[in-house]
Amino acid sequence: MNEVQLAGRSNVRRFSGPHSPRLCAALLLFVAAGGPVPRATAADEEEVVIVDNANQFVVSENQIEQWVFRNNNGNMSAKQKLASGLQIEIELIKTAVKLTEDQERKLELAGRGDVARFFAALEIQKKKFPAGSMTQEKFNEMWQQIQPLTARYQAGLHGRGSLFYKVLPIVLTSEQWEQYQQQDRERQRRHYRAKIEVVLTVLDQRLPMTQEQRQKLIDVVLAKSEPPKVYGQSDYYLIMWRISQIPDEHLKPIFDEQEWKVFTRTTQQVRGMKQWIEQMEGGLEDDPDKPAAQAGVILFE
Amino acid sequence: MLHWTLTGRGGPVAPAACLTLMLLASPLPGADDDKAAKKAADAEKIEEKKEAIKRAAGDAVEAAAEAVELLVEGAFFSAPAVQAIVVQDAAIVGNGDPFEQQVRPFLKVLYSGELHFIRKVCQPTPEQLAQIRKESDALFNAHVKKFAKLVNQQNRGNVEFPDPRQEMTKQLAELIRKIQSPEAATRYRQELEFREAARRKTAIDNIVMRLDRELALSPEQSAKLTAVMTEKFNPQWTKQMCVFLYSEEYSPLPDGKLVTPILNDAQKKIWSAMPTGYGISFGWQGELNFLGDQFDGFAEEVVP
Repeated sequence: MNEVQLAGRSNVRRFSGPHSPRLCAALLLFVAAGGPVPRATAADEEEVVIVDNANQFVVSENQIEQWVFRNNNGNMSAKQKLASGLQIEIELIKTAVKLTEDQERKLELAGRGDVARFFAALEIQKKKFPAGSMTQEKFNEMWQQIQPLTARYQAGLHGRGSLFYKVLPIVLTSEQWEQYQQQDRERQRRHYRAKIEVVLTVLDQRLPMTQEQRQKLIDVVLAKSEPPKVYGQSDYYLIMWRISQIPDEHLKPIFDEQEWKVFTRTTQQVRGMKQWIEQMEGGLEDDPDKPAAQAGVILFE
Repeated sequence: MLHWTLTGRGGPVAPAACLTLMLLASPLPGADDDKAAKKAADAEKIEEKKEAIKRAAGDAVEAAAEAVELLVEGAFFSAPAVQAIVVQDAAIVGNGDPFEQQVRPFLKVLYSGELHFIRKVCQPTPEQLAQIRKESDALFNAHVKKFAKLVNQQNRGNVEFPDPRQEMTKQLAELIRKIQSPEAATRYRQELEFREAARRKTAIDNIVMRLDRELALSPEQSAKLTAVMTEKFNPQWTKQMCVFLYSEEYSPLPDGKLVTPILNDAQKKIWSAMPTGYGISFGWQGELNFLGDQFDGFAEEVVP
């Protein structure tokens, strides 16, 4: 049984239970010390969570927003960032196809709809969990319900499952849609390749590969599997699981006998994670309001 | 025991990460009573470990005596698996330093894998391989000592880790040149160069991917950014490859001078608002780029 500690000023709380692979990987983490930069504001510097003597969690006014946006907006508000994000999404489409003013206006409208829907969902959570003191159970419940919003923000509001994405093939002509899809597929493939490369770098520590082996393995994985629908904190498992699903006949010729044993030992570890992987990716695809309901649930299960 | 400051270089660390880290971390500064209690518990654990090691050493002596008897009977060392177990046990009980015990299994995986790789790339004769193993064993033990010392130091403050694999391979290449031939060493070095090039490409591709997801780069912009990052490569980008498997906000970012010339105005606006990067480290395991277990798949094949 693993044990995870949550420490505060005056007492220490312990959560026990089985942990996900993601959590186990996260156990390797520590944050290096560093000084704040001028950009940091006073509001940013407040404590995330305070655990008081009465086993209560004290949550500040801006806490939910800080979790969802992960203090990752620099000197821009989240709304400003999302507005600019929509603009560059449209600009990216324009690099593949020439949009009319009417098409651009419709896409902008759909994108704004995604942003509005996201902030409406955020407001619901803020009302449900007002600032102040709360029990551990309530805190856990809040954390779990916030995670889908965090995941959606991280994944981008205009991707699969969004209004923007649904409207796109309707707004574009079939020819434009085909051109856009071609560009998008190549983009997804570049991202997938980057993640395969980094997984192979990790694998290479215990199974050193020649240049030829490395190249062949990348080619096979790219050819015989599909990119994940979403990337995040569990990319190693998302990629390794895909590799584990490729039939042996494509992979085995890349390795010698001893190497194959090491390789299959690694893939066997993730082969049984189908349900977890589907849970990771499925929500985002099907329902924009319930994306990848993984992080908090797994963290606390 | 590690103590973490929940502040990043580019501002406060993301709250979700803070919370995760708080959940995973040891007590934060300020929990003095807990710290003292934990310190005492740790000291007790170290003492227990030392006792266990002493007992194990005693057991190993008995096992060795039995092995000698079996050797006389001529059966024991014909079984490679048994040989591997005996040698590994001897290596572990050979030193009671808890930090060495902590580091050794990780380095052993690297080391065993590398010896397999040498056999594959350089194809030494059995005699040459035996000689390489023998001499590299001393190198391995020196590496264990060096990194154990660094891990120990890390527990008392920040430590800059050298890349253990690069240190190891550099010395192994020299051994191959000496024992086998300069040509074999060249083949090995060439593969090491390919490996390093692949690491660099991986880091660049992942940083470009991150910027693409944040800034929606066109294919031309992605290609330009990749080219300029390749030309002006920064070794810090490959320091900890594990970071590319975690949240994107922790991945390193290139200098603005490399990025902004290729961005449009809307992208520049977002770029200027992006934090300069958070200080994050996966510790010494991160330096070794290990995730998951410490399965030493080549142990039986190349036990020193």
